[in-house]
This record gives sequence, structure tokens and C-alpha cells, in this order.
Amino acid sequence: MFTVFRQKAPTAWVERADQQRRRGELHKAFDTCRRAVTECPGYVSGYIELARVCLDLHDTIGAREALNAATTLDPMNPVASSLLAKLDLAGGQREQAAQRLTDLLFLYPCDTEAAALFDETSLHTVSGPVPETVEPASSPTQTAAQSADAALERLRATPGVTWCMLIDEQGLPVFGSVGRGEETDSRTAASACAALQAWSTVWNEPAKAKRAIIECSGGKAVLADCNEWVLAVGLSARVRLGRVLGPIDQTVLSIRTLGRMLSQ
Amino acid sequence: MKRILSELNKTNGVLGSAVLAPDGLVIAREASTSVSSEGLWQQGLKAFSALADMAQAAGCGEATAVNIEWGQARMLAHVVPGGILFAAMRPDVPLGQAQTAVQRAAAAIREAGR
Repeated sequence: MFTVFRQKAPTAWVERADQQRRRGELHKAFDTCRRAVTECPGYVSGYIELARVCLDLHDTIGAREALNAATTLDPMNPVASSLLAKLDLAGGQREQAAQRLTDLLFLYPCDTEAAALFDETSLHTVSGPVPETVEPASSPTQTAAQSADAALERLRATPGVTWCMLIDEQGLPVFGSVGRGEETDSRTAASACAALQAWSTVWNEPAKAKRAIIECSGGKAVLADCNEWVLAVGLSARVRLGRVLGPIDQTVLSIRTLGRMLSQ
Repeated sequence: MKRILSELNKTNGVLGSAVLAPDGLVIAREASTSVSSEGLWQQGLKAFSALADMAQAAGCGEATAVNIEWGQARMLAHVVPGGILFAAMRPDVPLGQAQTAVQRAAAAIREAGR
């Protein structure tokens, strides 16, 4: 069943490559990434995943090339910038790494990974202090909560977004929740989360839904899968979906990165 | 109803469609062999109800349409008189185009019901 779905969306390529990389099938992951960036040359995450695979294969030149391609498409991509800074550090180019991280922390002050890397450069005592907006982290969970809050606040500031919250499988809010979504009881939210997950019996392969858009009489709601959690967003009735799906995808990416950081 | 669903299925990328009553009874179904399983539509109805309940609890009002996306597929659901119209389609069908096709079919069902 569903052989017609063989044509892969760029996200599917990257997810497959990520799974292969985590299983240690690095050469397979490399081939998948190459195919992803060949077929979807404008998809930034494809280059970032390719860079990760190259790093696991100890191919720093390949990784740098892939990251340069990613930053050409998206100059201040936090993941690509952070990985480039790591490469700079590994290559002894501490000043370049510090510069990248300073720029990155200016835009994403709660990026804990970047803050930790910045500490590693050991340059902040010479070239200036860490930006004041970066609060000292007392625990990884606390800093993760700060980053999640910041990502949710940014999304909430998007025109047309009325509320947003991050919920776990039980439908309970995680880290911080903003706005009217808090009024949703956890049982209803848990059923909605389950609705995204329960498709593997009907699709021929494991198939957790990535996103659901619900159009209602008084507005719209979007549920987006963030691996461990689900991002729920309320939208005003008149908002054009095309204008908000980009910021929602960006938030999903930030939350997924956060989840990966916490699980490591 | 079958004629309307057949018309909807002619839209590029649409693999199958069905109308289900809120209690799960299949009112009509037209699909290619790849989406012939009734379980797909039943699962769609279950998801529609859960998502609609959550949106209503969050103050968005009554759900009129739902779009569920996977990496490799997309399902659209639209409330019609007496039930919910579902359409399964490939993910490369642009969302706007998919919505228009389903809305047109929903309007035809409403018209036929008069």
C-alpha cells in the first residue's frame, strides 16, 4: 500500500539520513543527504544534515563545504553557524569562532550550545564579556526551558498568532505555555497529540503526522510534531497560513534542536 | 455522492476520497487501490474528532476543516451536511490547490443535499 508515495519530501530525506546516522550507517546517511541536496538544492536542513554526517565521517572539509552552502542560503542559521564555530575551534581558529558565536548570541541570546561554545573559545575575557542577555545557566533543563520560552515568545510575537504552547504526550504543558492554549485541558490535548501519532496501522510504514491544521469558525489551530513534544499554535481567523507556517516551522526546528540537546 | 467523489479524485495528486457520518458509517467511498482500506478513513475520522475537540477547547470555535500532513501523504477533511468529507492526496499537491478541490466537492455535496 502507498507505493505512490515513494517521491520524498525534503524533510523525509533528512529524517531518513538522521536515523541512518544515529544507527551508525554513515555511508548510507551520506548518500541520502547527497540525494536530498541534489534534489532539493534550496533546502538548508539537507546541507546541515550532510555536514553532521561528514563530521561523523571525520571529513571536516566536506562538512565545511556543506555548512558554507547552508549559510549561503540562510546566513544566520543557528545550527549551521554553531557547527561552523565548532569546526573553527577544532581547527584552532578561535577568533573566527568567537566572532561567529558573538553574532549568533546577539540574535539568539538563549542558545545554550552557542553560549557553551563561546566559553570554550576562552576569548571573551580578552575581547569583551558575554552579552548581558545570556543568563548564566544553572542546569541544562533550566537553560532548555529558557530557550523554549524564548522560541515560544518569538512565535507569539508573529502577527496572527494568538497563543502557542508546547505539550507532551499527556497533553501537559512543558517548559512554558503562553496565552489561551493553557485553558485546554490535558485530556483533550493528549487525544490531539495521539491523533498525530496513531497512523502506523493504516499507512504501510511508521507514520507519525508532522503537522495538522484545523480551521474553525473562530480561528485556526496548528499542531506540529517536535519529536518529544507537540507545538500547538492558535491563529486568528483572518491570518493567511502562508505567512505563519514559516515562523511555526522555524520554532519546530528550534524545539527539535533543543530536544536533541537534552537527550544527548 | 459517488460522482462528486469521482470528480474530486480526478484532481491531480488526489488518491481517494470518502464521506463518513460522525458515527463512522461510510456513506460513500471512491479510491484507488492504494488507499482502499476503510481503516484509513476511520482513522481520519478519529483524528478529525480529536483535533476538533482540542481546537474547540482552546477557544477556536467549531472545526470546519482539517489538514493532516505526513512526509509522504496529506489528508484533508471538510465538514459537509450529515458527515465529513475526506480526501487523501500526495504531499506535493499545493495546500491551496488541495483545499480548493475539497471545498468545491463539499459545495457540490451541499448543493446535492438541497
